[in-house]
Amino acid sequence: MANLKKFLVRRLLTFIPTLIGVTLIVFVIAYVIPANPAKAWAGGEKASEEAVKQIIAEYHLDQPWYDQYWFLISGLATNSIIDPRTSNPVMGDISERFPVTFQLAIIAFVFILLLGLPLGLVSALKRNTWVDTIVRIFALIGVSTPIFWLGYLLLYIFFVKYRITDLAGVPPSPPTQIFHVPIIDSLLTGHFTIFKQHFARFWLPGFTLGFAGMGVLARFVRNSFLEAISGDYIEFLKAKGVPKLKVYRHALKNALVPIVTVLGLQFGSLLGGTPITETVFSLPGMGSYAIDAIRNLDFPAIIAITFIYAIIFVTTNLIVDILYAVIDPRVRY
Amino acid sequence: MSEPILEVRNLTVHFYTYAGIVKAIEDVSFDVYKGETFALVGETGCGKSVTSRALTQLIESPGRIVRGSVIYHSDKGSVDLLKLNEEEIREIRGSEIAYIFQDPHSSLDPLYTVGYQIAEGMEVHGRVKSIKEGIQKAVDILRSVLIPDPESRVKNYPHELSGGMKQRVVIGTGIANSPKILIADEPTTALDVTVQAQILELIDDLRKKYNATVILITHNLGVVAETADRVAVMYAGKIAEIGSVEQIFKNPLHPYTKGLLKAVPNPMTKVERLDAIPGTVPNLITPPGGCRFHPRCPFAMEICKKKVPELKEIEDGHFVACHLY
Amino acid sequence: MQEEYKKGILDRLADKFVYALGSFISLFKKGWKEKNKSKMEEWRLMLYALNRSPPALIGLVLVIGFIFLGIFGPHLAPWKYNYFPSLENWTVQYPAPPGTSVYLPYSHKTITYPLGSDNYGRDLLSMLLHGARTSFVISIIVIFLGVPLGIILGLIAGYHGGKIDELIMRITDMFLAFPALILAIALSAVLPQRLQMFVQSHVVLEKLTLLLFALDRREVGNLGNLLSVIFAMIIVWWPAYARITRGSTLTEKEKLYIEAARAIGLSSRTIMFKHILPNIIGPILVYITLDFGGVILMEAGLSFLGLGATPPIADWGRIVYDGIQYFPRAWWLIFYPGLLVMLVALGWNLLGDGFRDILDPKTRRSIEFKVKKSEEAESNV
Repeated sequence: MANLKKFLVRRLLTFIPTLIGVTLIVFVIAYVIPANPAKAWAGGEKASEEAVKQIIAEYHLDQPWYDQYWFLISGLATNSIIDPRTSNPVMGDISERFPVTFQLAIIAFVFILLLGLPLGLVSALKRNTWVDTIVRIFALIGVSTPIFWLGYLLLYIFFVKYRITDLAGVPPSPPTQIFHVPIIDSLLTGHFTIFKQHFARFWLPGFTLGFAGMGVLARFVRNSFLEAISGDYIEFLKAKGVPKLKVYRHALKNALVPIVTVLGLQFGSLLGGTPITETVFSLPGMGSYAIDAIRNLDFPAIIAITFIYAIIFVTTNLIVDILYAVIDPRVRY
Repeated sequence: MSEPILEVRNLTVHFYTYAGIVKAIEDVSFDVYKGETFALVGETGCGKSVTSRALTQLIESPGRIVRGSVIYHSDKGSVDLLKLNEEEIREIRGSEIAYIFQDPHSSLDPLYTVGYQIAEGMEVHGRVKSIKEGIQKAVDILRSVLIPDPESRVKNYPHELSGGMKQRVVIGTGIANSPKILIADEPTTALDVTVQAQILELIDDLRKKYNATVILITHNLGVVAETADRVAVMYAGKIAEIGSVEQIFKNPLHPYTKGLLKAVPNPMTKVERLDAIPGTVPNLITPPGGCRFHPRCPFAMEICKKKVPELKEIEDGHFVACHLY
Repeated sequence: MQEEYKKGILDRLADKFVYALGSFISLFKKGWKEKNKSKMEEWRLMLYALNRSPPALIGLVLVIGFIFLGIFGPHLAPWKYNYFPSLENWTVQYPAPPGTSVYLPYSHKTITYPLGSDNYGRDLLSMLLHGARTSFVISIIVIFLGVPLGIILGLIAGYHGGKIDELIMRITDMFLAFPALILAIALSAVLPQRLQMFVQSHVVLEKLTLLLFALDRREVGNLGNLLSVIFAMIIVWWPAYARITRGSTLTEKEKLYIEAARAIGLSSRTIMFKHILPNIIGPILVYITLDFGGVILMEAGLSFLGLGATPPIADWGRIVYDGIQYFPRAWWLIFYPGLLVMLVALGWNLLGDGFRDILDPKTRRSIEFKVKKSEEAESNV
């Protein structure tokens, strides 16, 4: 266990430079922004000279780059950057929309796990049969289907044709909040009607977002399971007289090591898919907020959102690495 | 001679691969006697490992046991191991007949402690009631395979042990259920030379202690001379010669055995120089007709190309498959 | 035992193809064909294996179809992408459903829409054909600039190690800390204005871009947006390749032949590009094939969000973006472009998956085994 602790400390230490790197890239993105957004924010071509000047001063647009960097990073950290479009602190706007995006990604992730894992195992156990071929084709179609296309296709079926799902707004949150993710909170606090409402609103977008991941995971589970089962230690287990099911358990645990990594990556690409999914299903999450921000040249918001996405992504990777170390004793060194 | 514990007859295993059917072993027959160390010798790829695994049906697709029988005489009577179903043979593997594989680095599951893996072998055969009890017993087993400080080693993961230590753990797993037969497939090949002798000695001590029979598979004639009672020489999937260590080393009959002994320093007689056997090991998809050794044999005759030689007993307990005799 | 294979038409085509390729290389390197007999034999076997994998063949057909449309699409299109019939005939309610015919009083022509029209009365089929060029050129540029950048950086990092490695990999990690699409969105949102200024101040670049995308001179003002997604995707794409290449370079450089190459005093550049790269390129090629699909999907996604190509430039994702306000009535504006994106991406993925099977000796065996078995079955009849 001492090894595990040491590993955790070391891994957390490498987390810091990555975070600094993220802020640097975000800053570079901000720095490329042409100098005239001030005019746009001040109200377009008709904007008065003073208003523009005031905005330039407020957002430090005339300062040297290190000052701008510090202004931006400290502003994001202390939530003191005001969105020129909504006149709210940027982080405030984002934190309102964060639960929607997070909930969407979680539901998609659950879909991936529930469908991808069993499909992968079945196709490994039935390798080189028609089951295997179907899973393989399903995986390839999954990664090839544009999210927006699948989204509208499913909308056409479930909304236009049969009215099974609903597109308006987002259901209320349960009164007591634990994780600030309504669907989890309502389940934990026993508000099943709210849970149902959220599920009814989110299952279709979640499925759409997770569609690509299911096949990818299934293929990956299949391959790593087959790889694990061809290991020498599996033969030795059989030679020891260990029953089949227990042999499979060993193989599965060994296969889990790479699977955990892929699941982490999957979560990252799920996050990437949220802007499109939210746009298709009119969900008021961070993704659709980012798209609105782009349409209005609302650069502080774009930057803040990029930053938040990166933080979630990097944190996910951190969790994956920790899980990895918990499963595989070799990693702790 | 004492009574046989294993009678192998006409054991044949084919591998159905992309390139064609590999006739890995064909009509292999031999007896193993109670309490002895029986060595299977031959070059890499001659089918000795396949033979040892086929004894308990440990052949995976694309391989298949085509025919043959392996009669096992246990205390409870005699059975043909190849006729048992999956569950019956599983009960024999690891409890009556145990294996030690070549590479200790990959024989152990990297994700479990060594104690767990020894305990698991006992638990699945009902020798202990739980893994927990098994891990306690594993301490004694680790001690018996001469691992220092077994109380703490039992909690180690495989990657925390050296190669020699791992092989001791593998051996410990093998003897945990005090099996009647221990099949050691090149147990020292992957280890440092300094450790090899210790491991062989350990196996021999354990054999005496548990009154077990050892089948030793190796390509190392030195090892054979030192540890084995009887030897079977294999060539290209067939048995070339069987006899006691004395008979094989002092009076080799088969031209292949003679060549083999000339190619390595013979531990029993002094040789002036080493000679290589001309030619290469045949491809087992389309093996040479007749005697499989004839293309490389200095004494090859017409009949060798046509007729497969049978194993003939030349002197007491000394068999050879060659048309010269 | 080559005679055992029964050669089909495709196999004979493969023979000819490899022979032609060998002769082609021999034009530049005298005697190459004679010296590399075994290499050519291996290529042939790989193609044979490909011929026996129906999914890979379907992928190949889709990809060839896409490349064909990418090159000739704009010339095959019955109408120009920037021809707006709505300006001539105000009485029709656009978007018009598939099969509609509209008479255009000023040009005395009748336009028929096999796949329907958009809200300006533009022919969807023509827009899709023009859009094929857009996707094709963007994917080519992104792959051909992004991937080599990643490979070179990965080679340098892996081969030299030490501080250079540390520096390159830290930068790579920084880029990999973002979800790819998010970084691409951010970049293509902030870049257009600067790129627009840049392209307009370089006439050659401007002309080249117009030519590549088969665009009219008057689209000059929209180039910045188009180039911004290209630029953004290059930035997003190279880090993964840097990481993969570095990994395989690290294992490869430990091998004896590299040590030998170093011992005889070859320069590190020769070792990297002539000795390490050819040995690690196999898996990278598989990634590249798969990533052609990935680039096209991402480009479609970006333009679906309103980034990148702006009207009237025809782009598959953009057609959907402009069409969603008419959903579900004008379903064809979403269905057909999306279907094309899917088919093209599927084609690259099928092909890449097939390549992976062929390049991996383990799975290649299983393919050849099937060949053998079917041969046996045939001879038994």
